Amino acid sequence: MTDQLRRLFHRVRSLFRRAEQDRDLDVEMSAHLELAVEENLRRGLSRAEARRQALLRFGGWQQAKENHREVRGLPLLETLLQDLRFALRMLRRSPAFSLLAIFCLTLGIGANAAVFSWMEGLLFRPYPLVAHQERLVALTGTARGESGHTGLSWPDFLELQRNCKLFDTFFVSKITGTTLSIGDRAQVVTGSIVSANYFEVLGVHPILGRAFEPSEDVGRSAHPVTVISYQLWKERFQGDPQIIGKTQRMDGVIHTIIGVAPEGFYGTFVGWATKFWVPASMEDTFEAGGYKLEDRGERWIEAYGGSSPGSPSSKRNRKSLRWRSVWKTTIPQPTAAAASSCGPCGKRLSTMRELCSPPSEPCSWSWFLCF
Amino acid sequence: MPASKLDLLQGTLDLMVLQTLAAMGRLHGYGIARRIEQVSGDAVLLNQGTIYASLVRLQQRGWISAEWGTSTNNRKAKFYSITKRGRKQLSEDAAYWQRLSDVMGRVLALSEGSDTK
Repeated sequence: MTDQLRRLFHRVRSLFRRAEQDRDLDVEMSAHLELAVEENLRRGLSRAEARRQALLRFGGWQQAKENHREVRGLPLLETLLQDLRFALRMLRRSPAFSLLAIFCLTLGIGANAAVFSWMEGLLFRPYPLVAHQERLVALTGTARGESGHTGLSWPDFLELQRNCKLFDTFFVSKITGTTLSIGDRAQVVTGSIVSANYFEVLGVHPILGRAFEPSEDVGRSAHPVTVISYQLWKERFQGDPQIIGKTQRMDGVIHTIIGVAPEGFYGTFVGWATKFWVPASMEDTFEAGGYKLEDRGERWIEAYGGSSPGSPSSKRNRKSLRWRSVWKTTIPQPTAAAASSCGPCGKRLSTMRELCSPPSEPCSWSWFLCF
Repeated sequence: MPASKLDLLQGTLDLMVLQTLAAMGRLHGYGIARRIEQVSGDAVLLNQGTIYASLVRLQQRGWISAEWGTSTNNRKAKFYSITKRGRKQLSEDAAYWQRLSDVMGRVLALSEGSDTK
């Protein structure tokens, strides 16, 4: 062990004493040759022949030097250093080209890094703060005789909640938005219309105030209440600790702020940071097209199913083959205009991370950039 | 000169150098090379230049030491001598080679002679 350390020490040291050691070796080898020539002369050879013989016996002159260097130094490292020096020389020789090349590489690497961190955020990173998201699946409707997916209607959702044993819980959400005028500044923010059990099912608990109550799903525009995001609370309401009970006008309706979501919870729309949530009963306020909560034909919401760990349904919901039959028996015959069967998106139930709802624009853009 | 010379086995040159220095005392590279050639009766194929790689290897291990001196023809030359550690190593290596060559001798004798037993 010490033997190897000693050798390593010598080898490393020789990296810095290359010239000196080469010179020493030259002197040594020249002396060697001289001695050999002299001996040959003493044996009666001519000077030329003496020298020829001496060189012959010595073997390859350069080879001896190379062997010496190899043994005494770190040949790999030395070659690497040589290559580096060479590369730097070449770069310096044509600075314009070098700069261009470096610029291109920088741009390429930067863009790739940006895209991949973006992709990670959009597609692969779990929803922050959502509990057991691997047990959540996205549900979509399909229209008979048509390709593609549709949303669900509110009556569909109620039906599922009541009768479908495939999952323990169902919840729905719909992305929306509004213009917030707070102080002298107006800002368009993303929001979400959700079923009242939304926060409960996701395991997200407001840090101030409360989440929605089941009764707040019921009654047309009867519950103008909202839970706001931590970010919105901090940025637009200056983190006001007395925020609960205050009001905010949204889409012309005065809403009472009943809760503040915890920091880092951005809702469940990939690529969007939801700033406020309102119960489904307020759908009429934020959605065009009138009150849809009583219309089975209006398939306007995205639905999710969730099962609690260890429950029988968590095993069952993996068996996508049984899905359709269960679904069909669950959902009564729909109105004529609407589709008749629903199924899991894709060929199997997908977890929320493999969300079947179409990827938002940035996604396809990022794929484009990747290739 | 013999028709074909012996190729040196890996590691044998180092041992020869050590032994030469142990027997002859202080020597320069040429002296060592010549000595080995003479002792082997010119039976060994030795490119004298290869001795320098061997010398630097032995030096790194601390088995020999080197110092500059003046040769018989009044030229600056590097002289090598074996160290205490080198002598210890030499006795170990020599014993190893002795055993190995004994075994080889016995094995080769066996293949020539009777195949019983």
